[in-house]
Amino acid sequence: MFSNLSRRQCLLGAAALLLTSPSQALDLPKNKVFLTINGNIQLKNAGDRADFDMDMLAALPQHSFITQTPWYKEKKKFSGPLLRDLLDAVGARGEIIKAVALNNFKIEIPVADTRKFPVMLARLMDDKPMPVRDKGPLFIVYPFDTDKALQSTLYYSRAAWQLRYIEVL
Amino acid sequence: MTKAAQPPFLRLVSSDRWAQAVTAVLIAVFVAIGWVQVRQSKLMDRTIYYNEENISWIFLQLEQEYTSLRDSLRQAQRYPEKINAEALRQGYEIFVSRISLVQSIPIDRVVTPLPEHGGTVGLVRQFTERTDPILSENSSIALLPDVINRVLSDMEPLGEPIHDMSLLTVEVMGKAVGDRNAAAREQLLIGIALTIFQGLLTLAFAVLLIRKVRSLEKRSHELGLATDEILRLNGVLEERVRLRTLQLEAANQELGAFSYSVSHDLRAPLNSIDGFSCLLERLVADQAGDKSRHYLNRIRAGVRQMGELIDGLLSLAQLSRDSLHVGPVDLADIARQQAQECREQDPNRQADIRIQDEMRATGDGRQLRVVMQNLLANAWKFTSKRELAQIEVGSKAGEAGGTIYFVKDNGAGFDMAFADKLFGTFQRLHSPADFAGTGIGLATVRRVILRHDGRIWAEGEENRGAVFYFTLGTDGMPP
Repeated sequence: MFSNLSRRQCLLGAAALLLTSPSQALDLPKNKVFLTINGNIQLKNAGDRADFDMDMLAALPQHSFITQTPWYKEKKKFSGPLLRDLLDAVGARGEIIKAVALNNFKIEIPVADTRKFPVMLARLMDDKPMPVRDKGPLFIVYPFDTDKALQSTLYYSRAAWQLRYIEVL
Repeated sequence: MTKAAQPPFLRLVSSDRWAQAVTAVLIAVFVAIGWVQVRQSKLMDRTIYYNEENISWIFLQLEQEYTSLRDSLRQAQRYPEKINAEALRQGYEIFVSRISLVQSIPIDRVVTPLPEHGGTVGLVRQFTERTDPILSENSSIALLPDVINRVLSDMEPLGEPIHDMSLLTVEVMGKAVGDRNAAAREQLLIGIALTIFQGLLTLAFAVLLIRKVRSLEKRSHELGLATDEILRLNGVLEERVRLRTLQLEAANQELGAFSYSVSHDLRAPLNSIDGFSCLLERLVADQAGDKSRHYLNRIRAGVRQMGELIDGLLSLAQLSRDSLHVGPVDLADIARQQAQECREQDPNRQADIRIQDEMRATGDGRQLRVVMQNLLANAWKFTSKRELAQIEVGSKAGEAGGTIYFVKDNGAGFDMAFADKLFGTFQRLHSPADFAGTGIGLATVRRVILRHDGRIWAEGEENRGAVFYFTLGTDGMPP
């Protein structure tokens, strides 16, 4: 079969495969869905949205940092994928994302934040999954200790916990 | 730093009490402004740490999640066939998470925790302890209608305390924010007042400084005028001194000339008297009686004494008038020569004369020779009645560092009460019958020593001897 194609046709085919392959890379969730992303995204796996179970989030590149937060007296270690990696994984195009919590709390976060800081979608706190009663299961955390500017109400309010939905605007 | 050593500006400021007062008040104002700013910064720190509004928000959320859970349970009670266990359990977990939040936030860093909070939170805690086995995520108990009823009846009484706590928190936080705003406003006003005050003080300080600088300029001008006047008067004075000096020099010269002329002119009639007395003596040599011969001798002795007086006066006038020719002189050498002359004049006298080997001095050799001659001759003369005359010539170091020369003898001495008369012209402490003399020698010595910027004095005791001391130059240095 390949012997009938020209060299040029083979290259074009490969390029097309590369360009379209991400849409095929977003797996379907196999377990309970913990995060749903919709809005201005290129890659979806459930209608017009992208659903993630914990395994899918754990499959993204993982990061950790320890930081002080206003919600705990002691420093905490947070682990999980970076928000920018997650947004890249769904081919997000917008400039603002709206984070929605389990209780329907909503906050808008500029996508620029995710490029400027290693903003994390934490799924582990002190290496343990977070229950709902302790701000889990997903928690957007800024590395507050790395930059004095982050230690302000503006960024504390953007740290959405009990995260359930992300809408890319 | 002494007042005189201070730079003019510092002297100006420190000398002015007003300037000191203004400076002190300015410093106090600066301190006060610093204090206000530190207080403002602390207020801001508290606000920045965790905004008070968020604390109110946390309590409101607790109430909201309580209401939400209660509504869901009521819904489940009404429609048992539509019970969504997962949604109920999640709602319960969210409610519990708000209680944890109320307890975990460092509220005491912003406001003092209210006692009401503890009571209500305690009630809620007790409720969750009872309900966790039923409604938590990990519970496996089936949410049947009677279970829902039980939980709901347990939960209903919490509604009012949670609502009250929420309202109270909003009220307390509102008051805290109001207090903080009032404090900030008050501090802002204090800050503005202090800044205005500081500005006025700075202005006052500037005015004082300008006035002082002007006063200094005026004083400096006056000082300049005074200096000019002093210089002018100094010039006038110098001119007067120069004129007086010239007049004095002229008078001195006239006096010298007069003295010389008098002494010289006196010699002619004296020589005539002596000459004719001599001729008369020869003429009447044979016929004259003893009485006539005695009278003639008395006339000739008087003439001789007057001649010596004239010689002395001439010498004194000469020494005063001549200019000094300064050079190295050995006073011991001069003394030895004079001692030799004395011995030759009177070879029968027994005398022990001790002269220091060397007595180096600087001065006019001719005049210093007169000094040593007079002092040695005096010593020789006033020891003439001693069987063994003892005369010592030497020098010693003075207390001030210069050299003191002395001539000491064991002769007739003198009464110290008359010591100040020793060096006066024609002053004599002994009768001519005892010791011949004119009373000019020591006056001449004194004149020479004074011309060498030196000092002469004497110590003595009647019949026990005398010591004459003298210096040359104030420090024993050349005059």
